[in-house]
Amino acid sequence: MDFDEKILREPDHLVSPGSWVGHIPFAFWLIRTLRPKTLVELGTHTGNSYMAFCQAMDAEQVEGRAFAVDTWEGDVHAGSYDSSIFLDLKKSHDPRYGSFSTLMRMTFDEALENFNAGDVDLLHIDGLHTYAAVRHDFETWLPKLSKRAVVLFHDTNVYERGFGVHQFWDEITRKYPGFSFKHSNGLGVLLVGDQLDGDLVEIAENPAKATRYAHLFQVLGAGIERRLLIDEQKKWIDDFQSGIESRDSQIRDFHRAAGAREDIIGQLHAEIGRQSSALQKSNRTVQSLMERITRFHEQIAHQVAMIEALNAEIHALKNSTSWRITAPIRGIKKPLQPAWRAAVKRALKNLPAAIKSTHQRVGTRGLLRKIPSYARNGRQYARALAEGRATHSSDSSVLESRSARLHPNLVDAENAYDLTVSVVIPTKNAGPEFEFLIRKLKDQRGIQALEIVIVDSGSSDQTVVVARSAGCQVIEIKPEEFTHSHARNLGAEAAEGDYLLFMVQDAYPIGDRWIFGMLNFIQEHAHEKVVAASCSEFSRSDSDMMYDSLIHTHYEFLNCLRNDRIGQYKGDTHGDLRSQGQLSDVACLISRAVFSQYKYRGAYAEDLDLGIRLIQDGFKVAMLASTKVVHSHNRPKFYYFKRSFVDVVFLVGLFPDFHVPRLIDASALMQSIHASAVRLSQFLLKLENASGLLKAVEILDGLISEWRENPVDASLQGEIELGDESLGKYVKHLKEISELETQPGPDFSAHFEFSKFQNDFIARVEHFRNFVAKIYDYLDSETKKDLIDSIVKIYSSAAGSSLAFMCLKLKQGSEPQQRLASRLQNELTAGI
Amino acid sequence: MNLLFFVHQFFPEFKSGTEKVTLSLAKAAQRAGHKVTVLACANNLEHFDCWPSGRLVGGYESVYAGLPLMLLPRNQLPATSAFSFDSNPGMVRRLRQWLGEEKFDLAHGTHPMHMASLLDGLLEAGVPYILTLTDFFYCCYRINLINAHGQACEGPAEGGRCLTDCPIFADDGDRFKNRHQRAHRFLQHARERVAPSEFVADRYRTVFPELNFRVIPHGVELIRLAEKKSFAKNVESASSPLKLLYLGTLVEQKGVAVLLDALAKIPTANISLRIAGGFYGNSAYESEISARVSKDPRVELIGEIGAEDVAKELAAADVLCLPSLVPETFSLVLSEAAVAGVPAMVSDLGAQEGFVRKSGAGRVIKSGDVTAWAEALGGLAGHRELLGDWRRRVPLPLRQEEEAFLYQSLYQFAA
Repeated sequence: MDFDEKILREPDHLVSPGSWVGHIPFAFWLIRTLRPKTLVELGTHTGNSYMAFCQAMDAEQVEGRAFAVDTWEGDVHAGSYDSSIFLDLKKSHDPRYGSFSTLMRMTFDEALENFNAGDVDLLHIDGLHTYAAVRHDFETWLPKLSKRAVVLFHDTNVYERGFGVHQFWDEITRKYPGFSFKHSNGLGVLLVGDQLDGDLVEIAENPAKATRYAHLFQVLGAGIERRLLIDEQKKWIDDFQSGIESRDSQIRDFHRAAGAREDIIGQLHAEIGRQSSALQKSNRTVQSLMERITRFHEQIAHQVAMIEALNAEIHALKNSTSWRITAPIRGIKKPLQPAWRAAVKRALKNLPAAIKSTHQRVGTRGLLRKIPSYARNGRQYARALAEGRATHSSDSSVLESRSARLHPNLVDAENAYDLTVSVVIPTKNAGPEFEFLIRKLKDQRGIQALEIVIVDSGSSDQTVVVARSAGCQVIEIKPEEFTHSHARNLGAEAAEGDYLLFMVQDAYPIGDRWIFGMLNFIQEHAHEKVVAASCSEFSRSDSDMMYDSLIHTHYEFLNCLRNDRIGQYKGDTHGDLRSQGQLSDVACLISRAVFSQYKYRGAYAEDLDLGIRLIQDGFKVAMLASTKVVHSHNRPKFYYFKRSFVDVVFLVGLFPDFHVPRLIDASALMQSIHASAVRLSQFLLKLENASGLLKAVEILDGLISEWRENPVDASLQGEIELGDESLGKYVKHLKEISELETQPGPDFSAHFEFSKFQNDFIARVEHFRNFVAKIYDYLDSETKKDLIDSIVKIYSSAAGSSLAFMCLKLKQGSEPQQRLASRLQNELTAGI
Repeated sequence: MNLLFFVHQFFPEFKSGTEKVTLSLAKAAQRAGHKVTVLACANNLEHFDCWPSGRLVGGYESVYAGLPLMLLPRNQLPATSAFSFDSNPGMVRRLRQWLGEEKFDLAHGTHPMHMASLLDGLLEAGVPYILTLTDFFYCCYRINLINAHGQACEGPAEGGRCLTDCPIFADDGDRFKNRHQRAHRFLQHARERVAPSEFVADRYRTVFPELNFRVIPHGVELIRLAEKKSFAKNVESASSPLKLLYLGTLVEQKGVAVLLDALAKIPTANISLRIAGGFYGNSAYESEISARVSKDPRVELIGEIGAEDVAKELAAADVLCLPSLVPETFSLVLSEAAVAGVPAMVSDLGAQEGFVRKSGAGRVIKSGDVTAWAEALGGLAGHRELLGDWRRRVPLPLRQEEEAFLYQSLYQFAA
C-alpha cells in the first residue's frame, strides 16, 4: 500500500460545517491512489471535501479535471442559504485550482450533458440525502462512469431527518464491491469499475484490513475535526471579546454622559433656585406696578367721563335746530342717564381684568409704554371696557353661532338633493388653475344636476376655450361693460338651476360634496328663513401672513372662524349690518327664486349689499365654517393701499353712521404718510441686516415700542425702500402734492395729523402682532421676509384708509380741495 | 387650537413623502391661525440649526419654514424604536411634563416610528390625538406587510406571524406580542385613525377589526402642477407613437424590468416609453436596466427629474405605467397624473389598483406578468380610441389644501 506522510498534510480550506472534514485524510490517500482523470462532486456546499480533492490533485500533480456541481441554494437537509456561500468558495477556489477545476452552478441533472459516457473516474455523491435522491443521482450518473470508477457516498451512517443514504448503500453493495467508514457521518466507497486493482480492491475484499484502515483514517480525521473546532472556538472567543470591549466602551460612555447629566442637573437646580428668587422679587414689583397702573386707569376713566360731559356741552352750544344738529344734544343726555353711569361702573369693574390681560400680553414695560396711548384714546378704551371687550370687534353675542359640523365629505351618509344648481363665474384671464376649478365643479356629488355659466369680459388667455370645451355656457361681454353686479346678474338671468352659486375664478371647492354641504345647510335651516349661505375662505398654500391675518380677523368679526353662523337683522348700525349681513361672492349659494327678486346692484361689495337687503327684509344669511372654499391672494404691497382706500370710500357711502375721523391738515397728513415710510424703511433695513434667529413678537414689539417712544416728525428725511416701487413712488407723489398743492395748517395741526396716522398704523401693527403671537415663534429667513412684507402691507393699508378719509373730508371743502380729492380717488380706484 | 404634529423624521434632515405631508398639514394649520409645533426624531442634530430646549430636558428646538420644531435626539430613544413600540421611561416622564406645560389641544401623528415614548406621554398627559397611517408600521415592523420571503403578509396575527415569518432575535416571541399589543393600544386611544387609501384602511380593518378607519387621500401640490402649461391634449395622429411614461424610483420592486420585457415582446408596436427616476445607488440594477434600455430604441432613460419637471413630463404622456411588484399604500405620482388628465396602466396591487378600478381611468394588469403587460400595451397601441374614454374618467384628486381642511374639520371634533 502506498502510504506516506503526504496524506497527513494540512488541508488549505477548512470551514463550517465540519461533517465531512474527518474524511479529508482518506480523500488525500484516494486521489494519490486512484489519480482520477475526471472527478465530479455532486453537492459541494462550503467545499471541505471538494477543496481537499483539488488540493490533493494539485499536490500529486494528477493530470485530470475536477468539477463541483451545486446550485448553492441549499435543500431541506442543508437548509436554504444565500449567494455568499458560493462567492466565498469561489474566492478561495479560483486562484488555487481554477486551472483544472470548475465550479458548475446548476442542478445535477443539468450538469449531465457536459460529460461524456464512461469518463468519470471518481464521483462523490453528497447532494440531497433522501433515498430517492441518492438513488436518482447514482443511476443518472452511472453511464458517465469509467471502467476504473469509484463512487463515494457521504452520510451512510445517518439515520434521522429522512436521510436514506444508508438504505441505498445496503442495496448497492449487494451489486458492487466496496467498503465504508462510520466516522464523520459515514462514507461509503463503492468500486463500480471492473478494471480496478491494487489497494482499493484489497481493502474491499479483506474485512479485517478494511477495519484497520477505517480505524487509521478515523484517528487521522479526528485530528482535523479538532483543528476546525479549535478554529471556530477561537473565532467565537474573538467575537465575544470584541462584544465585551464594545459593551465596556458603551458603559464608559454612559458613565461619562451620566456624570455630565448630573452636572447639568446640579446647575439646573442652582439656576432654578436663582430664578425662583428673582421671580418672587419680580412678582412683588409687578404687584406694586399694577396697583399704580390701576390708580392711573381710575384717573383716566374719571377724565374720560369729564371730557365726554364737556364735549356734550360744546356740541349742545353749537347745535340746536336740525336733526343732525340736535344729535349731539341727545349725546348730552347720555352722561346723565342711568345706563351711562352703569357703563362707567362696568368699565371700572372690568379694568383690573383688562390690566391683567394686557400685562400678560405685553409685560410691565409694554403696559407702561401704552399709558400715553390710553390717555390719547381714552374714550374708545372706556367704551370697550364698559362693553367687556378689549378691542374693537363685533358684538359676537348677538350672532348665532352653530355648533361645529364635520365637512360633508367626512360624513358617511351619501344623502342627495333632487335640486339643480347653476354656478355663475365672472372671468377675465382666469389662468391655468381655471380648468381644475371647472373639473372640480363637474365632479360634485349630492345634487341632481349642475350647470356652469361663465360671464367673460375679454379674456385673452385660454379661459373661454377651456370653459366651452368643458361644456359650460359662456356669455361674453366687453371689458368696459363689466361690473361685479352686472356680470353676475347676466349669468343669473341665463341660469336655470333651482339654486345659484356665485363664485370667483380663483376659488376652489373643498371636497366633492362641497355644494351639497352648502345646500344642505340652507335646506336644514330653511324653516328659520335662511335663504343664502357663503363659505369662509381657506388659505392657499402660497398665501401670505398678511392675508391669513386679515381673513382671521374678518371671520372673528363675523363669528364664523370655527363654527357656522346665521346672521339676521339686529339694527341699522354699520357694525350690525356688516357682521350680520355679510355674504361673500367667493362662494355664495342662494335660491334663484329669491335672487331674482333682489339681484346684485352697485359697482363694489355687491355681496354685502345683497346680504344686508336680505336681512333687512327679514331673511337670514349664513357664513359657513364647516364647508370652506380654497381662496387667498398674495397681493403686492401697493394693492393694499388702493384696496383700503376703496373699502373706506365704499363703507362710508354705504353706512351713514360710519365714523370719519377729523381732518385738520391734509398737507400734514400726506407728509406724515411720507415720513412714516422713511422711518419704516430704516427700521426694515435694520431688521433685514439683523443676523441670527429673531422672534416674530420681539420684532413687532420693537417696532411698536420704537414708534411710541420716539414718534415720527416732519423733519425726518431719507430714502423710501419698502420693497414695492409703485408704493414708494406714490408716497413720494403724495409728498410732492403736500408741498405744491396744499396749504399748511396751523402749528398744532402737523402734530395732530402725524399722531393720528401713526396711532392708526401702530394699532394695526398691534392687532397683527396679537395674531402672530399665537402662531409664530422664531422666524427663519423665509418667514422673516413674509413678516417684513406684512408690516409694509399694514402700513400701506393704514395709508390708504387715511387718504380715503382725507378725500371724503376734502370733498366737502373748497373747489381746489374737491379737485384734489377727485384726482386722488381716480388714481387709487383704478384696477380695483 | 394648540396643535402638535409628530413624525419619525423631518425637514431638513429628511424630505420624503411623509415629511412633505406633515409639512403641508402643519403649514396649513398655521395659516388657519392655529399654534403649531412639530415634534420629530433627529438622527443627526448637525442637520438642524438647533439649540437645547429650555422646556423639554433632552430635547432640542429649531425652526423650519416658520414652524417651531421640537427634536428628540435618536440616542435618547430606545435602540429598538426603529421597529418596535419600546419607549424610554425617562423620556416619557419628561414628555408628559412638557405636554402638560404646553397645553396642547390635540396631537396629530403622521408616522409612529421612534414615537412610542411620545405616544405614552400623550396618553399619560391626557392629550387627545389622531393618527394618519401612512404605511403599515402599526402592524408590521417591516412597514409594508411583505414578509422576509418577499410574500404578502396577512397581518401580524398578534405577533405570531412575525415570529414565524420575520424573526429578528432569539427572544422575538414576547417582543412581537408586546409590539402588537402596544400598537393596538395606541390605535385604540386615537380619536381618529386615517388612512391615505382604501387599500390601507382595508388592511388595517382586517388586522384590527374592532376599530374604525377613515380615508383621506394625500393631496397634490396643485399650484405647482398648474403653473406649467395646460394639460389639454392634442388629438394624436395615427402615426405618432403611444407615449408611455414611467415616473418613480428605479428599484427592483417598482417593476420597470417587467415593462421593458413586455415591450421586448411586441417589438413592432408603435410605442415610446420615457423612464424618469433615480437608481439610488443600486449600480447592479442600474446596469441591468440601462443595458435593456439600450437594446430598444423606443425607450429613453431620462434620469431623475425635479418636481418642476413632473408636470412637463405628464403633459407629454398618453399613459402612465406603474408596474409595481409590491403593493403601495398611496401613489402620489398617480394622483399627479390624474391632475394632468393622464390615465394609468397599473399592476393589480395596492392603492393604485383601487384608484384605477374605481375610476375606470386606465387598466389594471397582473403584477409581474410580462405576457399580460405585453398584450395590454399592444392592445392599447392598436386601439388608441380607448385613451379618450379613459381620459374622460380620470378623477381630479384632492389638492393639499383640501386634505388639510378635511383634517382640520376632524381636529375640532377630536380635541
